[in-house]
Parts: sequence; structure tokens; C-alpha cells
Amino acid sequence: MLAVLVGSGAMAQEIPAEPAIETAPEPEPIPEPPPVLHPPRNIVAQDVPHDNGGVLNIQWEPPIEGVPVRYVLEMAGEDGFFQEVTRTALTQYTVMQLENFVPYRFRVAAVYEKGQSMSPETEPVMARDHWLKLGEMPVLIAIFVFGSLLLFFIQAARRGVELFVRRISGLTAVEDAIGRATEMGKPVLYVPGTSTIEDVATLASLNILGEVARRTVHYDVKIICPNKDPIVYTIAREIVKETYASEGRPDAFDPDSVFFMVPDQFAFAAGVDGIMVREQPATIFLMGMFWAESLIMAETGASTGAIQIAGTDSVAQLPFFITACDYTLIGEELYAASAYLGREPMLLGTLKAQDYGKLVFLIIMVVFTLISVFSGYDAASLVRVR
Amino acid sequence: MKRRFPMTIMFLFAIWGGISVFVGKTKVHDFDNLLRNKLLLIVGAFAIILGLGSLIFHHTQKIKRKARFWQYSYVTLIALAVTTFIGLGGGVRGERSLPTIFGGTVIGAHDGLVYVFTSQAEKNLFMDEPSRYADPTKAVLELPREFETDFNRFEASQLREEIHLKHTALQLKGQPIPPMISPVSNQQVAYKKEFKISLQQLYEGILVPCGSTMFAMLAFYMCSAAYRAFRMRNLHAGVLLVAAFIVMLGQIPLATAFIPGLHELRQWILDVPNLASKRGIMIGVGLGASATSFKIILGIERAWLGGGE
Repeated sequence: MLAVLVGSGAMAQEIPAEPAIETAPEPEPIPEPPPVLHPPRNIVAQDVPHDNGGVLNIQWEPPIEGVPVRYVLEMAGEDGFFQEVTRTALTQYTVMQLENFVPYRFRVAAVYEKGQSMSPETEPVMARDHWLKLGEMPVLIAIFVFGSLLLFFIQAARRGVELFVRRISGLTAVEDAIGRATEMGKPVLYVPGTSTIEDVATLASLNILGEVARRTVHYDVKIICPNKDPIVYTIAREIVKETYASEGRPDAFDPDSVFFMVPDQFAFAAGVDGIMVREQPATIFLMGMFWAESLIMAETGASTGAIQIAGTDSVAQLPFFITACDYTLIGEELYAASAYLGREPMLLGTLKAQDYGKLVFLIIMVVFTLISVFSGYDAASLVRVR
Repeated sequence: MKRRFPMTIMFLFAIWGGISVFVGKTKVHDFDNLLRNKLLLIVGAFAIILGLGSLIFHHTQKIKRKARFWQYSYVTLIALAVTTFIGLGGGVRGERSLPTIFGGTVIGAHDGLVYVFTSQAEKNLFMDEPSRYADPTKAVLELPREFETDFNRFEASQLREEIHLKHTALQLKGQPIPPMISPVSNQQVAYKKEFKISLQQLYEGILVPCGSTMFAMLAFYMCSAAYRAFRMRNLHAGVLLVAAFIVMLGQIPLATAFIPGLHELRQWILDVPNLASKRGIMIGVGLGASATSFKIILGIERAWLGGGE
């Protein structure tokens, strides 16, 4: 307490001012030199070889020092103005949808946390279209191999070599199914799919239509063939008409038997359902490409008690047909049907070629799987279409 | 000649189509696109005429013969005639001169005009580009610019309310009220003026609902098909039943939450045995399609030309 008092008394006295001590001013901190941001190096812009054109591949190397957060690729076309193409962490980028034979220049900026550094521009480079697309070569080789097999077996068939073809129950039943229609005095309904003529399944279906029509001429059964596509209709009509003519019964052809119904998917399904219910056909063929309407038609057909033979290469619709139809041609069987029904030796040769084609595929798959599993090498890259 | 000519044309075009897959030259692709798209479109247009002829012939024959349920053929022919008349007279979007008085719902306003549309598609078009619809014949109610409303949230009842509010506001401000503005009911607005009927409205009003109905029936057909497929008649059907049960159960979040490993098992079924069989079928389909193409191109398969030689 005393000390406090003394202290306070001393503080009350005037203290002579001491001369101010001059202190040297603190030196201003020297600003750190800005970090040197290095740009990406060796930017190379190249046309992608052996393609349709319109594609350039841009590659670059990382800066000498520093790790950029990302790179920004810029491109200038004929107008000379650079525009951003992409932001990427990688050191290459493929620019697509360019115009052929137009010079493009590129530059790449390395973006750091404290700024960015732009590389010099590349020389102008043009995308070109090329005569041969090497990326499609695996397909060409496969076609060549399969074509050779096909020709070999066709030649074998021509020489008269007996070719064993396995029994396809769905096709064996065609004869019985049309015979049933004859006995019952009811028509045969043939739906050649709901796709267009570009679809190979539609072509296969039209080939089968010829064979089915031939049998309906023999058995003198009415055939009803509604069509969804006008082009398919014109071809289907010609097929049936020609078949009647070639079988010596041109007078028996009813021009009303093959008709165009409607191009709408579900309207067509409704129309076909209506025919099934009204006409009560004894046999229904649903051959070709189908979509969601497959089950609607197949179930309605099943409810009428008709024998149904379906065939499609649409994997999604196969379960519906297998469930609702008596016989189903699964995938390739649809394509084999006309040869099987026609029993023409040359066509049977193509069936053998199909089987051997599958064998070749199986061998390739097994060998490549073994290579990939035991060596770690991605063998599939050899046959991958680019 | 009758067969050789189409076969020659087919052979040349097929070879050209094959070449364009392996050749990268733009001109080759341009010509290929011309063949695939434009030429096929022209052929399709002619085929549609043939198709229409077939349709008319088929149904007139049914009426003449008094075939079973021949009355339905009248429905088809009348529908064809009405659709053709509206299509030719009213156009796809009612842009032609066919005058038809119909009701609708007020759904849009732009630049002081309120528009009546009968379909969502027209509304969407209007929303994309309102200025295209600056057509006084479509206006039912003229409004000053300040009444322009966000047509995205626009409904007839909202319009009525909004007009009423604006009306009151103008009254309170002592400003003159435009004579055209008055609180109107939906019906009054909807039927006040005429507008055009179009092919698009027919499509959306009749064909789409009918198509949706057919598509909805698929669900019921699936049930009956599933019942048949899952009956345990033999071992294969039993395996199918068990696999289907696991896959369906695995789709349910509650089941996957309570049964450990169910989701993985479901995914394994889909990714391994299911995918393997699908790929097997697809390889066969690919080879079959190639074989069919070869047969047609080489002229071995000629059934598509009609039977016989």
C-alpha cells in the first residue's frame, strides 16, 4: 500500500523531459520478387491421321518448374481471335468438329495459384480428311474373314457337299402352323416388324415373308400382312404378289391382303390387335424389329388362341416374345430363317458360315481373355474400333 | 431385266454404303448422306402416296364387301378425310387460313396482348419466341404494356386476378382505365375470340392420348406375361423365377437397406450372366445381319424381290 502511495507521489512530481533519442527508421520490407511462372512447353498441334477430318490433337509438356493447377487451351481460327477451348489438368486434348483445311493456332496457359503463364502460339495447323480410316480396320478385317467363310461354304454347297444344319424348332413349326390354318379355314397374319427398310431385321423378315407366302399359296390360305412403314409395304406387297405369280396362282393374289395401316407405333399395335380379334387368324407371325408394342401384340395374339411364331433381333423384346409366343426365333435365327425354309443349298452354306463365324469369334474371345488375364496386356485394344 | 435392274442398283448402292464406312473423305460422306437421307426421303414420299392408296382401297373394299365390323372402316376414312382437310387448311401449327372457332385456355401474354393456345406445344413455342406470335388474330384481350406478365407462371385464373388488381390500382391512382380491360372469367376469355385449329392440336389431343393408353396397357400385359414366365414348371423356370425375384427385390431401396449384399447380388446378375447372354445374342445378330447383307448384295438371297427366278 505504501509503495503505491510513494509511487503515486513520485508520479505527481514533474519530471524533466529527457532529450528524445533519435531512432533509425525501420527499413521497409523488401517486396518478394514475383514468382516466376513458367508456361507449358513444346506445344504440338497435329491432325489426327486416317479419319474423317475435323479433328486436331494438341499435346504439350508441363512447365520446367512449378505445378500448375490446370491448363487452359485456347484456339484461334481464321479471324485470329483466341478463344478458350477447354480447361484441363491433362497435357493433351483432342479438339473436334473443326472445319477441314482451315488453319488453326493454339496456345496453352498454365494456371497457378498466383497467376498464369501463357505459352507461345503454335504454327497454323489444319485438319484434313483422309482416304482410309485406319480406326475401322478391325471391322474391315472381320468382314473379310467372314466374307471368305461365306464364299467358302457357298462354293462347298455348289459342289454338292452335304451341309448339316441344326434343327430350329420355330422354323420347323412354320409348316405345321400354316397347315393348321388350312384345317381351320382361318387366315395367317404376318407382321413384318415395325421398323423401316434400312433395318436388316426388316429385310430378313421380308425374306421370310416370301417363304411363308409360298406356303400359303400351296395350302390356299389367306394371308394378311399389315404394314407400318410405306416403303416396307410396297416391297411386302411386291413379294407376296410375285410369289403368287411364280407359284402359278397370280389370280389368287388378293391386293387387299397386304396393306399399309398407319405409321404410328401404338396406333399400329392397336390396329394389329383389332385384326387379331376380328379375323381370329389361326397362325400369327411376328417377324422383324419390334419395340414396346411387341408384348401388346403378342399377348393379344395369345389370347385369341392362335399359334404364334415370333422372331426378332431386339434383345429387349426377346423375353416378351419367348413368354407370349409358342415359338421364338432368337437373334440370328431370324436371319437364318429364309435359308432354312427355302432349303436352297447356297443359302444353307451361309448358315454354316454364320456358325463358323461364331466359332472364330469364340476363339478370339478366349485367346484375348487369356492374354489379358495372364500378361496384363489389353489385348482388346488390338481389335477396338476407333 | 425385271430382276437384274433392281439387283444392280442395290449392289451399287450397297457397295457405296460399305465404302463410305472405311473412307474418310468428306465428299464421299456427303454423297452417302445424300443417298441415305434425301433420296430415301423422296422415295418415302412416293411410298406414302402408295400407302394412302392402299389404306383407302383396303377400307373401301371392307365397306363394299360388308366385311366383319365394316363400320369401323368409316371411322378410319372419315378420320383420314378430316385430318387431311385440317392439315391442308390449318397447317401443322394453324398457320394456314382454315377458320375454326374453338375454345381454349389463356396461357400467355406478351407485349400487351394475351394469347390463347390449346396445346402445350404451342405454349412452348410461344415461350421460346414470343415475338413470332405477335399476331393480332390470336389476341383475345388487348392490354397495355404494363400488364405484360411472366407467361411462364401464367394461368387463366391468375390472369383474371391480375387484371382485377391492376384495374383496382388504376382506379386508386385515378388513372383512366383502358376500355378493353375488365375482370373476366376463364370461360369468357377462352371463348371470346376464334383461333385456328391445327394438325398439331389433333396430334396432341387425339393421337398422343390414344397412344399413351395403348402404352399404359403394356403394364397389364406385363403382369400376365410375368405370371406365365415365372410359373415353376421346370428347373429353368425356377432359376428364372429366383433371378427375377432377386433383381426386382434389389430395385427396392428398403430391401437393399435391410438385406446386406442384395444390391451387389442384383448387380452381379445383371452384369455377368445377363450381360453375357445378351452379348452372345448380339454377336449372333451381328453375324446374321452381315450374312443377310452379303446374301442380298451378292444376289444369293432374292426373296425380297418376290419368289421365283
